[in-house]
Amino acid sequence: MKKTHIAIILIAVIFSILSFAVIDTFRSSDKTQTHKNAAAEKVAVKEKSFNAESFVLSNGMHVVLIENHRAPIVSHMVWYNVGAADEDWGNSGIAHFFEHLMFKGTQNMAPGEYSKTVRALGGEDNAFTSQDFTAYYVNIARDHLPKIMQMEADRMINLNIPEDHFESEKNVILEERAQRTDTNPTARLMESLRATLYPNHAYGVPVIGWRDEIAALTYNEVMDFYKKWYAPNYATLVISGAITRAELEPLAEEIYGSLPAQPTAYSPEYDAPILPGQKTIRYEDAQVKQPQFIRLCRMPSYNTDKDAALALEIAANILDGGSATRLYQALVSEARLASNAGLSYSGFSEKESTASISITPRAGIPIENVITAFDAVLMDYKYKAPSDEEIQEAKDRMVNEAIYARDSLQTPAYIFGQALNTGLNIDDIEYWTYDIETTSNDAVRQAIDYFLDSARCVDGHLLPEGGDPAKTIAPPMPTDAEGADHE
Amino acid sequence: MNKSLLRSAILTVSALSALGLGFARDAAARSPLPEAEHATPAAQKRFIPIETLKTKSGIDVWFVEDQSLPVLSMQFFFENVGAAYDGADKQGLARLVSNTLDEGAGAYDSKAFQKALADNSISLSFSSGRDDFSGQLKTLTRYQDKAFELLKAALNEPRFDDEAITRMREANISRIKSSLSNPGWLAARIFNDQFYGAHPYALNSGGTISTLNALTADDLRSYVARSLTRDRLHIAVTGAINKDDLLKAIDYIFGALPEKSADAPSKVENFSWPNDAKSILFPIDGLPQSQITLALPSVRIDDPRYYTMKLMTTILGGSGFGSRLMAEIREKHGLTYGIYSYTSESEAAEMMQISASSQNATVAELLSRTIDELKRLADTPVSEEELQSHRDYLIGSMPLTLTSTDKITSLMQQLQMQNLPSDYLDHRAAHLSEVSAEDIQNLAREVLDTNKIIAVIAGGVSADDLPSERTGLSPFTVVTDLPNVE
Repeated sequence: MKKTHIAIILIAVIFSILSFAVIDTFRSSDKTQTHKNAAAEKVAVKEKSFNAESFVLSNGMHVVLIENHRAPIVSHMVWYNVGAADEDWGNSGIAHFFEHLMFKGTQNMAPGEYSKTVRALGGEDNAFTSQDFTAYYVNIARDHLPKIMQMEADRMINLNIPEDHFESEKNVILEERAQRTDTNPTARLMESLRATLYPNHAYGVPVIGWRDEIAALTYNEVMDFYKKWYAPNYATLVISGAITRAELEPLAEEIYGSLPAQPTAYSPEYDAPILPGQKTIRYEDAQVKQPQFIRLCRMPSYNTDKDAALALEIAANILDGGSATRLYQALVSEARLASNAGLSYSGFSEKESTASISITPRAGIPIENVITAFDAVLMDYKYKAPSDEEIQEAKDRMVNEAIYARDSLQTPAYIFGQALNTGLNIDDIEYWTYDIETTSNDAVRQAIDYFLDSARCVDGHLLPEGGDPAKTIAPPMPTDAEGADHE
Repeated sequence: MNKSLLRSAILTVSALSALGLGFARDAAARSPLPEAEHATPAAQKRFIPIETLKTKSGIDVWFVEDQSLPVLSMQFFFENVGAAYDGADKQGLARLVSNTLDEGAGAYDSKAFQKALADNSISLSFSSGRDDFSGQLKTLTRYQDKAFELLKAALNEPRFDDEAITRMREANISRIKSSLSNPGWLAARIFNDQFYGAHPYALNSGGTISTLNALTADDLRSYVARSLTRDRLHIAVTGAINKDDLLKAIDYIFGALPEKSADAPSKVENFSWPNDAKSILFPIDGLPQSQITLALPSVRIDDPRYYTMKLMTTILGGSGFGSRLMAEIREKHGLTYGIYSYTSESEAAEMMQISASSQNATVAELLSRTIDELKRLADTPVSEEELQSHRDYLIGSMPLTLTSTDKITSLMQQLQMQNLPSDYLDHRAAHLSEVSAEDIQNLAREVLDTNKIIAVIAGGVSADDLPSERTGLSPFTVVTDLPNVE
């Protein structure tokens, strides 16, 4: 219960900033070092988790297939290697806006006809945009796959959007921004934190875009974005489900392989300097009733430093691998300073990754006290480093999750799509469990240093109007951790 | 709580469809159905090959054997002991029990219990709805013995240590306080209070700050003694286990529970629809948008017109972009990010709801256009083409519910919760095929009665901007009290 709640908060937080790097997953292969870890060590077996097939079509479009014959259905996803981080400065929101327009008709289909056709065939479709990619998916009976592929290929090159639909969709997106961010104080704080964490960089700009910039986008700007980026050489087809490679390959070549490739496009590149000093944003708002502490930290990603990312994933699991692990035990169970605490890190990001920490202070506990206690958890990890046994337990939990990940139609497709669009390759996923098992325990112990560099982090204090109630109402400070009462 | 990669992956996926970027589609995946390819010994093809079994000690269990992965999923519920039975002064009791049951049992204290789950990658959780109290267990088969042991301990020997109760109580209180900044949660709270009135469904299933603070370990123990009894138990299992081992495991886990309890609560009375329309506004100052919920009567799941209701709701707003509300309100007029209609079936009540959000200036227009769509269904028969495409959707999308061990188990539990037979889904396509446009129009005339709409809005819109002539609804009453929270 407790932790579910946290996981949901963290994920809501991450989604509210509209970045997308949540699946705590897979990675890595170039690990040649053997596990010289603990004594009584089991031998890491280098075997694939998913046995995915992959091939490249004649126009450069990549295809990944994860066979799954449990039910006569498939998940069809097309991932474009373009996202909000590829927008020109001042045009924030264009990648996401464009994602909406992909449902607004082609030379061969009326606006809305794509989704209506999918529905009538018993399928479900949707799409999503992140900093690094944009993806479109349909889950449907396997027999209808050729029809879906034809429609998807059609809108990759033949989009034709009536201008009045462009304007009404702009209103829809402003409604979406209002629903997601403008009415949600945590999401508003997250926008400030991201902008401070990644100054001068697209990762500091919300994926959905700043309100005024969305409102100012023009039809031509959006269509230019389409012409530049929507092409088979920027696309990856990921299929999970009841079809074999022998069946899929000719179909994919016929339908997608014949589409014309586009010349190489370039994204604007900006530096994201780390602003020196400790950065804290205090956000007081009348909508807030429960104070919350959020910390975001810039971290290596699998793409920028694979070994570091593997060690960080394990370190994050040691800190928060459930309520029996360090963070929850220290802050919630033992010190009784917080009613909830969570930490998450995922290495899936083309540039840097972002770790996030979210702690809910117990009633009567000032937010500064939980920060001090959290920093003590980090110092404790550094100076009373996790034992080989504790590290192995985290590795085991992570390796077991790979089996659960196969118990799904869509999860493997998400994992591969996300990996291939953030600079990783198929083997990074297939041998991720091996890479986790063979990551050295010393590297796991040292990974804590990334959390201890305060210049890489930004703190957020979400507070009710008038400030921290634990201070303004001023109950006597408890002399021991048990002392505070809750209204 | 086992916060696993799987869990985060699943949350991610559902977050993507529910609140992810992209179109918010209705996360409430529509029900399932057409024939799947599971071969069964019997001649006739089954949608899910459910076996209905009985253990030696007489416990019923629904089972789907699936050897495709070394995974086992077990779910169960105790009927009619959910939050509706908490009572006004103990609101949140069933919820607090569900949070604390896995916080230590038998020889395991809280940390030891959670560590045993995590070390063996076992996912075990409990939850309480209005009607029922449920449990969900998922394990790799190689850890199943440990999983069964922990579940048995949680059900039969929960410790309810003070430390754990206090921790869970406080987590719930901070959840409530966090929810106070969520307009959707506020709208739902006001809706339940205004709609259900004196019925127990009006109470706050998650508890109030004062009732949670007053609950004691004795409350939790007596809840368990009177509620977790075998006469209320329904179990479903999917996965890689053979029948004999499963039956033994079920007796091992559940066999020692009492058959029944003399203190058992009697079933809540059926809720009857209010006689008059009602429109309520809960103002949230400064909010740029407002959350809208409309409720209309529906039919019970055992009513022969249930399939007609299902199709009508789907056509109106149940299939995302294929549906009328989405086409009219979002795509054509840009008044919302998402608008959906869906039915809900509880033990004591059923209804159709429509939900959406809109920036304050466009709330009235959204309401009046929505009312127009309700009238259109009653005034004009749907075309054969539109009917067929929605029927095809409801039938054709059913296999999408069979993609994981968990989902198959959940589907069985839904049938059990509705008292439906295990072969119900085998006949669903045929029933849907029999529904005509005339059936839908007749039902629309009966249930889509704009004089019976209960409307609740929470947000920044002002009551002055919602006069009846602009909304098509009864005049709005402003409510500022938020009951059953403090």
